[in-house]
Amino acid sequence: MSGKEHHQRGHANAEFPLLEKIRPNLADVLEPGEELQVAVEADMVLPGSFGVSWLVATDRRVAVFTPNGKVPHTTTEVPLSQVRALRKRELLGSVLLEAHTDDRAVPLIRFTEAKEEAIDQAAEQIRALLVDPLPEEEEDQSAPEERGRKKASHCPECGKPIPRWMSVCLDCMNQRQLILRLIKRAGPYAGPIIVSLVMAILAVTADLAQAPLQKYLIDSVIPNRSLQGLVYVMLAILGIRVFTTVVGAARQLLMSWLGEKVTYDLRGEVYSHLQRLGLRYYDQKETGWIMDRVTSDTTTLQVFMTDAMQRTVINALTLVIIAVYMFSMSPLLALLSLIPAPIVCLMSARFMKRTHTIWHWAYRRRSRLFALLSNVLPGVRVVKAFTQEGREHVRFDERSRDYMDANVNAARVFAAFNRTTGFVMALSSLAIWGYGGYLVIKGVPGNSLGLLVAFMQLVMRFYAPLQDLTGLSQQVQRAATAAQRVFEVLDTAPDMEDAPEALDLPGIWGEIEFCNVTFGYDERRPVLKNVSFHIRPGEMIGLVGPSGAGKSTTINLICRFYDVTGGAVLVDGHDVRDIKIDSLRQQIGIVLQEPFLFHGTIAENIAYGCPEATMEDIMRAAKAANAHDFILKFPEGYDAMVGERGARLSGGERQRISIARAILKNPRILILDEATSSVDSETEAQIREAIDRLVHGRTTFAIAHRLSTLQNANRLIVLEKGRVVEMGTHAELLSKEDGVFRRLVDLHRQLSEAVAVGG
Amino acid sequence: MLSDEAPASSDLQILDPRKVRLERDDFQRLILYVGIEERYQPVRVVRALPLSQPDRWIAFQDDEGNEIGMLARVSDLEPHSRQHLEEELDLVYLKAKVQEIRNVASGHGMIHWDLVTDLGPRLVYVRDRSDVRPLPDGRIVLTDVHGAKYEIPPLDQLDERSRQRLEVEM
Repeated sequence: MSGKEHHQRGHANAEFPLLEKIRPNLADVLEPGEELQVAVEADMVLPGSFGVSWLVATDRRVAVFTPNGKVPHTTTEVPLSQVRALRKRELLGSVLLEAHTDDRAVPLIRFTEAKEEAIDQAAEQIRALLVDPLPEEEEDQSAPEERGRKKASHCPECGKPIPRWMSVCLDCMNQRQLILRLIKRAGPYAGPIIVSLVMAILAVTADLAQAPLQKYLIDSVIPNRSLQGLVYVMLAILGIRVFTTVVGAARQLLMSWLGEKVTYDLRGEVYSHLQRLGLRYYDQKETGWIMDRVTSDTTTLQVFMTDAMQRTVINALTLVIIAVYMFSMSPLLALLSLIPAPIVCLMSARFMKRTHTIWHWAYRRRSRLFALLSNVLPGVRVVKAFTQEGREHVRFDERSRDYMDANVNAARVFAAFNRTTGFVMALSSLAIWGYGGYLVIKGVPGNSLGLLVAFMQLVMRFYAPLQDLTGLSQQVQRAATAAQRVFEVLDTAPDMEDAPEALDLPGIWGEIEFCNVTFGYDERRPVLKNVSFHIRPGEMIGLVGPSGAGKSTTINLICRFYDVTGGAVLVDGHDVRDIKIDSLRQQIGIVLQEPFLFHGTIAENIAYGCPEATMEDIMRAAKAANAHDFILKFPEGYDAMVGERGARLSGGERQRISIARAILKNPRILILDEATSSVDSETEAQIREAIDRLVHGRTTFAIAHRLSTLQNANRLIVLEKGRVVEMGTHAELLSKEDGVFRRLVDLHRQLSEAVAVGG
Repeated sequence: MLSDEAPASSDLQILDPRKVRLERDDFQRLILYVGIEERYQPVRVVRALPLSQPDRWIAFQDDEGNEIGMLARVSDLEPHSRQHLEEELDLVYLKAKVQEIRNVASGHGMIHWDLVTDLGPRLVYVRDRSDVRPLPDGRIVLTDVHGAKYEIPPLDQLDERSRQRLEVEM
């Protein structure tokens, strides 16, 4: 192994603090002069309980210790000279590492996936120490980090695993940071925001100026019976009203536009990011979940930005301005009336903590409900066919009720909070009337009826924004939850992106090579194992094998819907990972078993891969696909709409449209996932004819079930359990007496004979 | 096996408009002459794109529905044949042009459009919004429950009230 020197050079002790940490514990166990080389911690103790054990390698032995107090208890050890290999056994949910000697296997440590990366590294280092290592077994070599592919990692803060399709730990994502991030998104719009805030300050200040005006009215104008003064005060109040109305309306318009704009940008960003994510992401998420991110979460964020965010700022400003007014009029009364404020703040702070959980809870239930709907509705045919309507109803009802319960629970908590704070606030107006009234009656200088009235005005205006601010926590919570979800999508790194120096291949020959390709959707369970083959340009290959053998997977890898875990897929001699994804897929045409038609006209669907195609091109492709004639039978011809799932077309028709799509795209590499479902023989003949025309001159991979298709193939590749078991022409494979292909054909023949006899 | 028979032509036959001539027989059926040798009687005309490009891509079919060929543009024909073709197309494809929308209401799971068209006033029943199709050029096509088409001109060619009623439905 070429990495041998590398590993020995690479492991300075500084990288392994564990080595230093456990050295004192092992002092008694190590022989004099014995040198500690590698140490790694496992999270299980043999045979199978959770706990800490250390795998240690010295220059003399490989051993395992458990840290029982100060004195380690030795469980296993093997002299280094005897160890010939370290082998990993993948169990379900845990992994066992064994040391193999010439005559036995010694279980060393057992651990969960959380520790796998570290232990893989350590095992690699120990392998480098072995005196006489056995050649590595292929499966044992669980592919180390391939091209920076993200493996499951762990959050540096809480240690919880972070799934490989995400780059942040959700639990450690701080709510304040979330909101901050959200506010940062408003950055490019700083201009309008500042204008709006200035407008708000002007409006609030002017509005509050009514309180001193009223005091003046009650204390000076009315007792002096000054009509002129009255007119002035009235005019001033009217002026203030006009001013606040105009400024308020303008500001509201500005902020609404801004909120919409910010959300519009966000929604676009989420959608375009979703398009960039690999299929792996879609394998792991339900469609409903993803749809919710794009629509409802961004809407929640919009509410936050248009409404909550500006209210927060304005309310805070209002509070400051009111406090300034109050203290300038009477510091004593001001203090008295503001006593409940800290209590209210304290309560809301405590309350904030609880609400996040409550909203999140309700939120999850909502998502679950949506996921169920988007899962069941498209499959309603199956539901009806199996008469499971009742059960589906019960399932829906359960989730629907869960959602209701969650909302009722949230409402209950909020009701209790709102009423209590309302009551506390009411106490302060009582205090003003009580103490202020006492001061006025006693004739304490500086206190007057006007002052009391003005104060009541201000207190009323003080608690409204304060209560609003605490009520706002609700919206902030909602927004934080939504933001968390949206950012989760945005933070998901696309698992497949063009390498910086990726090649642009405008035209290819269509030569395909698989070099020792190993791949699994779940890395621990490879679907393809060391698959190698070489296809010449223009060759037609039939992929044959029982279901689950890896036929579709092979095709997924050619299209680079997924990246291989080991080995490489070459197109025209280039690793597909070195080719721009777009440029690769432009050369590939796919005719799927279940062709997906988008909501749109037939013409649009045929031209899906080449929007610039002319109508003539489209019709020529349709004609070659034997689709033209049936299309013209629709009253709306090529303008006919096909539903969300092309529901108005039969399976055979859908397939021919998808063949036309592929013909129009004119790809060098063609992939046919042939339908298993039987269509009537005339349709079948038409489809076959269309496929023959399509295949001509292109490198073709056909997952074929029809023997007729297989006969046309230049070569067949027979897959079984993820391996290539046979490869050759139709005739060659048939002549193999005990061949896998021969067996499949015989089986097929028996079946069709049975049908013929039965029919 | 069917597949062993000579395959149907896989190429789109596009007719040279200079060679195409259309006549009518005594039964008012269309006769198609292509060049001097070929004569088809009667022929059917089919629009490939009846909504988006009604005057382009017309397919001629024989009595059994086999395609004889396609005409790229109606306007390429000489005036006499063109008139026959246009008359025939107008006959086959009933399409009323909407002049005014008097009312739109929903009830009984359908949408009722009270329209004034160039063919006279009519109350049109439309199943759902998917039967109200905007075309790329701004026209809107209604398909009623019986499959008849009603063409609404682009919004700026409608009167104010009709436009408002339509916009609510879009």
